[in-house]
Amino acid sequence: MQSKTLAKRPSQKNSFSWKFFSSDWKTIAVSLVFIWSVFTLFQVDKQSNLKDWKQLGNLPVIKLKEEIWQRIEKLPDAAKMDRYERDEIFKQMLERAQSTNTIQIIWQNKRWVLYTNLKLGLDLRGGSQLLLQALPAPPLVPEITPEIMQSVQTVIDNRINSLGVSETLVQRTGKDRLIVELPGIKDPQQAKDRIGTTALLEFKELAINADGKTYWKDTGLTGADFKHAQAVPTVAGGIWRVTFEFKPEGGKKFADLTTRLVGRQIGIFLDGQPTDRSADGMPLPVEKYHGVNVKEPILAGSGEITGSFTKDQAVDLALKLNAGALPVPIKIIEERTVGATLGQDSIEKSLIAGIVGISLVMLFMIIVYGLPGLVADCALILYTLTTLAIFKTMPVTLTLAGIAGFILSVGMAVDANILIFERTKEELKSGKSLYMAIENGFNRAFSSIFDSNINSLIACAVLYSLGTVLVKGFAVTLAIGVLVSMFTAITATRTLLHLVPKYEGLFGQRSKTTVTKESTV
Amino acid sequence: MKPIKIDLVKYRWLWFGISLAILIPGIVGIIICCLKYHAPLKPGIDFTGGSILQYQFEKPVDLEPIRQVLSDSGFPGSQVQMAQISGEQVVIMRTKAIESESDKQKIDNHLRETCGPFKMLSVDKVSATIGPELLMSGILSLLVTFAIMICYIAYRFKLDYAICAIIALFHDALALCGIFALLGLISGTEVDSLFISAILTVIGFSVHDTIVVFDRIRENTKYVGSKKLDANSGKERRLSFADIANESVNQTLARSIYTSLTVLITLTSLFLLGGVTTRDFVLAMLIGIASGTYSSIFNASCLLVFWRELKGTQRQTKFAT
Repeated sequence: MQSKTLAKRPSQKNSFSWKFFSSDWKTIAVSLVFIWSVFTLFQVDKQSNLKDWKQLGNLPVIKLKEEIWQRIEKLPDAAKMDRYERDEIFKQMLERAQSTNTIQIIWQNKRWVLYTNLKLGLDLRGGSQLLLQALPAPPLVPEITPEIMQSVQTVIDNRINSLGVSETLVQRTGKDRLIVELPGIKDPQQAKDRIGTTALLEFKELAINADGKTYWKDTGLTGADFKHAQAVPTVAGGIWRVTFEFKPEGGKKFADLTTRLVGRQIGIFLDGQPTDRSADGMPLPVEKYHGVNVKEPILAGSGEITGSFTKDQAVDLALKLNAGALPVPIKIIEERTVGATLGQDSIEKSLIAGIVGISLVMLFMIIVYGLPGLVADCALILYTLTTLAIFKTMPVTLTLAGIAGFILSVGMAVDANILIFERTKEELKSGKSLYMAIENGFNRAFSSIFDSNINSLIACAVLYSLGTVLVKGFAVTLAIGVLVSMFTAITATRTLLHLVPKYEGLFGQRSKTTVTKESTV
Repeated sequence: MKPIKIDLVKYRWLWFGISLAILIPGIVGIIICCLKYHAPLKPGIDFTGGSILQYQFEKPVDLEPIRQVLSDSGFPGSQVQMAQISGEQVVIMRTKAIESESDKQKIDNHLRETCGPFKMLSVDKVSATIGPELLMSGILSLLVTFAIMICYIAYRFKLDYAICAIIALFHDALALCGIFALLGLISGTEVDSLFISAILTVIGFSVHDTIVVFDRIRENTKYVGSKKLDANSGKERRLSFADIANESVNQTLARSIYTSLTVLITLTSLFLLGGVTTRDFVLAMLIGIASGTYSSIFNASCLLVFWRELKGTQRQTKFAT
């Protein structure tokens, strides 16, 4: 049915605007992307090293930190290092130890392990995700303000840290909510109890025990007596102080205490730990803590802590004071807990599904297109590696829905190639040379590919901005997939296609005489 | 390979008929769901609030004692089911939202006493307060996507193309919702926030497919009115818009089918081999993408032809730009 008029399409002006199509930079770009992806994605290490790191990673956080400091001391040039260098090495080692438990082994023998380390979501590695909501408590707190949320976050953060679970996350979301992530946790119940209970804020004084050593003694003043603290700038500007207020009962206790302790120190403790933190974010060891100086008796039930505080320090102290008690009640409004067994099962199944799916698509392309199909398959492999490497670098947390998005994007990545190849076939039918047909195929298919991908990106953007965490994971992986596919399916396929020998029948076209015959039928 | 040819325009009522055959039962399903669940689809805990506990007991258990335990702990009317997850028997309990932690502990302790030790596979808990909010944000994201896509298609194409593409898009969303409404009535399939992602993806894909076909029609409209030798009668006649649409659909047919096949291959392998958690999500995308392919080949182009014919053939040359 094909008419001659349709077949003789006037050649478009943009056919040669892409003159640099096969110039060297594209080949180089494709090779560079390939090399980058492989090196980013895959890591090799000795079995023994990995085992050691794994054991370290399994230690409770506090022990792990001790162990790492010990190891740093044992390093041959430990003596030469300054504090800053040590801290850097500490951070690196800590990260390494904590991430080794989440690696995915690809291949191993007795000595070597080939592995990658993609960040897996809680639904894959097991763990709990909680959504907490701060509830207003009138009349004191009629509304949840950002300051209140800040102090709620600090309290929850402290409580979660005290669990000793690694890689926890406490994040603000919306006006009055917190997302808490507890990966790989054995007992989510304990975590939830800890979040729900009130932490103990205590004011202590220095005393001397029988052995002549100083220690912090209870004063009976606790967070229960405490009302509110706030950071305020002093008139001079630049220097900040912290004002605070007790409940009437607490105010009286505090007045007595400060009268007694003028010129001495009061220690502020949270769950038995000093509120001051050392460089690594853990509470300062008790023996290094000096407390706060009392300048004069504070009788009004409110007072201030002065010192040459910067704004940050003052705000931090106020937060810590407020942290003793949650300023408002909180409620767990959403919980998603996945046990490690189910997570492991999901990983294995997704992996198999992914491999089978991609292999079938590749097979399909070879069956339908032959050699060009094979070229598209190479582009698809590049696509898979690059996308995963980007996931690893960003890092994108891979959830089950995210994996589904990625596997779906594989199907869509091939679409660009199919569009191009079908177009090329048509160009060949209309009597163009192979070279011109390939070029026209790419140029003409481009507008369709571009339009349709923009559409997918629109959907992803909406999903990302409005969706829940689960949905966001899907949107991100799909969007990255779409963007990468624009590069691999167009640039990489084109480069590769110009590298393969061009012979008559590359796209299964028959000799020109048959084509003309067919088109007039 | 001899290309397959479809006479699109001639059989247009057949194509519309097939669509209706799928849509009508779906719409009936949606209506029944509205009466039964007060929602067009059976809503999952994401939207209503509630808890789903998946426990794997060490010993084989009966469902009745578990129901009893739940009911004694203050959760009467809970659904308890058995399921297979990687070859293991798993008990799935659906209750109304367990709002307080002490209630949850009470249930766990009771279960341990009556049915022996168990392993927690997953716990999902959504409080009744957040459910409607998730639903609202889901519906909002759907509406926003619809709006942006309509603007985009209208900007890229002429208005009539845009309207046809959007009708095709609604067709796919409706077909998907209809089938899931039926599944909800028959096998109790519930929809969650992932289902909304599935609809959005399907919409994206459907528009993507339709754009490829329309892009070709637009490119070929310049031949409307050109002369053509009719193979049967041997006479020359002028090409109508319908001929062009027919030709364009056939030119893109191989591509449409191949693309959908590759996507369907990956989705099918996910459906059959992938994790249990996302099975419904993948099923939704399978249905939607199959429908999207169908509607972009048949419905969208037929509608466009229909529209143009209504407006009269004389004006068509105007669009040949």
